Amino acid sequence: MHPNLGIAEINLIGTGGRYGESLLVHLGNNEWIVVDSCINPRTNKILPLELIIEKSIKPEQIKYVICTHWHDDHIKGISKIFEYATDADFVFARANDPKKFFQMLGCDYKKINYYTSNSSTLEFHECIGLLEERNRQPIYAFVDRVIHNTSYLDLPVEIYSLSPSDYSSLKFDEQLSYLMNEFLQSNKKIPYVNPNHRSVALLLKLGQHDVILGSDLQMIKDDNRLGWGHIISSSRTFRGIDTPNYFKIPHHGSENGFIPDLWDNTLSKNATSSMTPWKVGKYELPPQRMVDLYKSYTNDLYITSTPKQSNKPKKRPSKIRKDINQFKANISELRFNYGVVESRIDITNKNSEWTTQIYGTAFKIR
Amino acid sequence: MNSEVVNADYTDKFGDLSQNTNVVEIEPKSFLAEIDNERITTEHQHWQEEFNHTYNADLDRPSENESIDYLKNKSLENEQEYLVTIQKWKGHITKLFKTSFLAELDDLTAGGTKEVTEFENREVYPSERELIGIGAVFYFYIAYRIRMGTLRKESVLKFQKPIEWKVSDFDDAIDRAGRLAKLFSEEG
Amino acid sequence: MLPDITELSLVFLGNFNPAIFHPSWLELKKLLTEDELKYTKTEIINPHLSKFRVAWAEFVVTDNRFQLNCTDGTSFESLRDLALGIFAILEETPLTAFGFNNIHHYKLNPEQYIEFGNILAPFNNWNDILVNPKVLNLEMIQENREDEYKGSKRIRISPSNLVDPNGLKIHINDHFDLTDFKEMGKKLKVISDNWDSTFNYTNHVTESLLKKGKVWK
Repeated sequence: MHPNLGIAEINLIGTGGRYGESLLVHLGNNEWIVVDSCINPRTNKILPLELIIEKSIKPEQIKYVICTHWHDDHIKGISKIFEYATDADFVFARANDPKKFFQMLGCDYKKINYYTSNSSTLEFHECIGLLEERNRQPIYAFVDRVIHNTSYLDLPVEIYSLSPSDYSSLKFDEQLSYLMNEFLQSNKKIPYVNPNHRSVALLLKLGQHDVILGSDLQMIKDDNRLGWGHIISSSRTFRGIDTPNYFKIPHHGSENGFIPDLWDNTLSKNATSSMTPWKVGKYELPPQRMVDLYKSYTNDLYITSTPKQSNKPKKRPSKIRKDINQFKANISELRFNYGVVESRIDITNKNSEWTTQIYGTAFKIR
Repeated sequence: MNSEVVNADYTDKFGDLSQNTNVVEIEPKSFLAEIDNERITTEHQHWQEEFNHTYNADLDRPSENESIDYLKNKSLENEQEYLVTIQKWKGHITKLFKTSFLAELDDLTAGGTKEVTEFENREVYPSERELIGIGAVFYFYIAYRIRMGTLRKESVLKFQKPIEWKVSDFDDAIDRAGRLAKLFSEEG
Repeated sequence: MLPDITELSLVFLGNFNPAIFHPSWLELKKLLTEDELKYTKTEIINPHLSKFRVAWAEFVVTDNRFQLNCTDGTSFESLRDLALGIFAILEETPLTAFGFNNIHHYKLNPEQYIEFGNILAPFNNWNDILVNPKVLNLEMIQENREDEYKGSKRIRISPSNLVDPNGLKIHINDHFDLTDFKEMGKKLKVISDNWDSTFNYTNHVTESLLKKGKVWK
């Protein structure tokens, strides 16, 4: 159901593992933003776009399509969303050397000429193509950048990017050179490099309420020039935050996504918090000890699906399963678990609290 | 429908082929890009027999000299082998270990969700082991092999070969990158 | 239901120079490795016809036809990559058309074998002009594609030359007219873009026919 004009709505869409995550946010006043994208691997349907259609959101109501990553794994389907959102601005992290970044995209795209694509940046490339067609400038996200600044009923409705830092952009240049040398010529798939210090974290001021969307940004040990350390120590925007009461927990609730300063000194007590799980081999995020830690800070904690994933094989006809077992008994499925955490708040009322509904495999942890 | 019939008197087309050991008569039947209905004849009986054993060019029409029964009775007694895929995946390497690697697999047979599994390096052809590296793309198959009248189940792993980039590919990418960087100036 | 044998042929129409297609050229251009070329068997290479076999692929090239054949299902993707690689290098080659040819062979029992033909082309319709009629070959054509490309589709059903007795061969030709595409990159993209769909189509055709023919298990 479409929210009223004065109601902010945050939809966190999770897929359970390796199929991405996305946010669909109503800023109020029929203005929406989309952050990243993900798909249903069984149907190839683009999940945020499905939700957009379901909520009857018109193309012109989508103001921003924000790409917090450039890698396909995190933004599958985003080009179709940007295609739909004909009036939207496209936001992505600034590169120090944009020409080099576009070269990498261009070379990665060239792989399509030779083989069925091993490109890892196809979605981003398509979005850039749409920008070119529309003759529209992108909005580069970096620390303390004002992306959106309007009001509703004299209340601020603003979006700020909190990252990447200048130093992060510099490091990305080095990374680009390495990626181009190592992966482009050999027709390999470009991996997404960790640790993640370049992902775009966002601050939303929605009337009387502040929201932090943590994306995949991590704390980088002993280096405050990168990641959350930089935001806490150096961001002017962050210093001006007024006790956010909604927090999309970064990096799937991992240890590196835990920012003690933020929880201890910035977020409101019992802030509504949400996250999506992730599975890397046998390692599942969030680990139980981190869930327990988050529970100590808030009693309003949600996740889009359980992090516990069995290592069972994919369901197949029994004969094929037996044949596969003869050669690869240890093959396990990366499950798809579709869950949405939908939270709403009255942006005109300072005393209003977030009310949350859950769909699919999403559940309240506490 | 165009069809070009080359006269059986092939000296017109090929010149004097008396010195050649292999002589071919070509009779294309259709302009469509499909399996050819060519009938291939040769001066040398052993060559024709060998060819017919390995691949019968006249796939759909029995040759005028052969009966339907003969064709039907042709069995798999030749050196040709056949592999029929039961299941196939496209994978890429996500993690390297000392003697093995972890890979993420896309199911090319049924589609849907991805899978992960570990492969030993020795499951890779020796000549392809140098291609093992993060991001390397390969195909993995479970198949039946039919050879010399026997049937066997096998798994096969094949890496995609590296691309031989052309200078023009880089030039195109660099030119476009320059245009985009100029077009998308900092003040976006 | 798995076929007993599968074959794939990629056929390009255009103008070719058969003499340049030989194993050493493939090695020079790093399209095939030394190992793959160890098992080369050359039958003929001259200015008008080149025919040779490497590990898993057979080349048959004439002045106006370039054909790659493969009976190794685990090398079909390699065959595609090889074809794309060859024409990415020979980007000036004037290609006018391309066809996927998927051929499936199935072993039936004698009753199924006869009945299959009866279902597709009922013998009743022939009883007044033939004594004890049976189907030998059947070919159906769709003259225009239903997708965005120019071309056609053909399905040919005949006795199998590789599976006997009672072997059924279903040959699916998925044909694309490439004359509207000027750059080689765009022509090759037609092939790579339609790779999955042609195999899906093949599976759909064989399943449909075998179910109608009461053979499907």
